[in-house]
Amino acid sequence: MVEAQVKTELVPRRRKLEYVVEVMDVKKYYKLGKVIVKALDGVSFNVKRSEYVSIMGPSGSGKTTLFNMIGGLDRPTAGKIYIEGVDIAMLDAYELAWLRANTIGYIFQTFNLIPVLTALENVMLPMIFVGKPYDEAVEKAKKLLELVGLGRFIHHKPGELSGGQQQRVAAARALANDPAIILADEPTGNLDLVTGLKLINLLKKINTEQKVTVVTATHDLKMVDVSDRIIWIRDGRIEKIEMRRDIEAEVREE
Amino acid sequence: MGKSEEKTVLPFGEAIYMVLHSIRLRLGRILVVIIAITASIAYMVSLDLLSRILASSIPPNGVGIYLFLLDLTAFIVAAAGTMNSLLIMIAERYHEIGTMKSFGARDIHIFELLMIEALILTIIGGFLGYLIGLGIGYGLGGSGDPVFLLGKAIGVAVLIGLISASYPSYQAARMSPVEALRVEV
Ligand SMILES: Nc1ncnc2c1ncn2[C@@H]1O[C@H](COP(=O)(O)OP(=O)(O)OP(=O)(O)O)[C@@H](O)[C@H]1O
Ligand SMILES: [Mg+2]
Repeated sequence: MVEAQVKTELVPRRRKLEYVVEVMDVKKYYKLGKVIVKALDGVSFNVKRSEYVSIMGPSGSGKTTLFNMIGGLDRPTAGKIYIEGVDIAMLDAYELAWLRANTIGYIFQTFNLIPVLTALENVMLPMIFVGKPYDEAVEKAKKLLELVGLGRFIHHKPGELSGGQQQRVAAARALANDPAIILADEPTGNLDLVTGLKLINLLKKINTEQKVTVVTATHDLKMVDVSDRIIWIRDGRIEKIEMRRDIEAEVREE
Repeated sequence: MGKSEEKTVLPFGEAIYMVLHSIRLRLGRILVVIIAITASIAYMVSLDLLSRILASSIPPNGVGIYLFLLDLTAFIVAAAGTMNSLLIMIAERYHEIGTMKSFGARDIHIFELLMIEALILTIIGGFLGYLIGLGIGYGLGGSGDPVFLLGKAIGVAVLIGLISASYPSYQAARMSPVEALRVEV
């Protein structure tokens, strides 16, 4: 009996680690009165280490919902999610917080910066939670803000920054603890062409140089150029999964 | 990943810094909370000081009951005012709570931040309420022990504050990040 328990505990941790993210038949239903909204209705896919995957789909197709599940911010109604081989439904509160702080870097569609903190302090926040010494956190946050082109705005509060600048603060914050996975929900949604391209290139650079896995949700076709794979979703289901080289081949044929 | 000794932290100094910072920057909103607590406590302190005068027109056999009722209403007003203000203060924080939890804050950290803030606000409100209540009470010719009243004013404010903030703070703290982020105030 005890042995069996130990085994079931160990199995998920031994899953093939070539996949950093495994999404297995994930469903998320919301009950609105008598109606059931199926935000996700059985989604499965895997993401390899240092892969760059874009999730494309129309508004309301379930992209943000999927992100929240992968990031351990919400629980699926059914199905399983493994991050680095670990079933996140099995994590206790400590482990879950550690995962959110360390393993995953979120860029939210709505930025979610803390309005009373400066850009610098917002970027420092995840570092404080992992116990990084204050001075080191300041240095790192400054570097990250410079990386996203906001070196001159470190003492500005979100309310004093444009939407695109706020999005870049959010990107810098996502990188704070050198996550293994970056989850970016429409990271270029509020950016003009040039700034959007810069952020895409930054994500790609981190992806290739630091082997960070990037999963983004987007409407932005510029994202296709840097993605290894594109997962199309509609009404909470996967419509198709395309490799970029296939798309490129298609384009060449035309 | 997920080794048990790896846990996210919120150093106490950092928590205090965050709370003071947040109070300073939200002074406008926070002032409303402090004023409500101040007014409630001032009402209680001044009534305490004036109770003997107020009771002087009451037939002697009813004085005991009358004083008790005065005390009780003063306490209820103080409690309701303080509680209401702190509930508003916490409701305004949901979005930040969701954000902090997304980046590693644990339930206890959120609870700690909210309770520290409640404590600071109630101490300030209690003390200001005491000063104002004392002014009104003495101004109108009341009498009483100012040291005892100081203790009572701050004691009531803090006690009620902590009791009334604890349940909503606890609830806010254990929300999932997504739930907290979705709350619209
Ligand atoms: N808390 C909720 N309660 C009820 N329905 C919800 C909730 N959250 C999401 N939904 C529904 O789930 C569906 C998917 O929403 P989601 O936010 O994931 O879409 P999205 O693909 O991110 O869209 P967008 O591109 O506009 O951001 C929508 O129909 C939405 O109305
Ligand atoms: Mg969305």
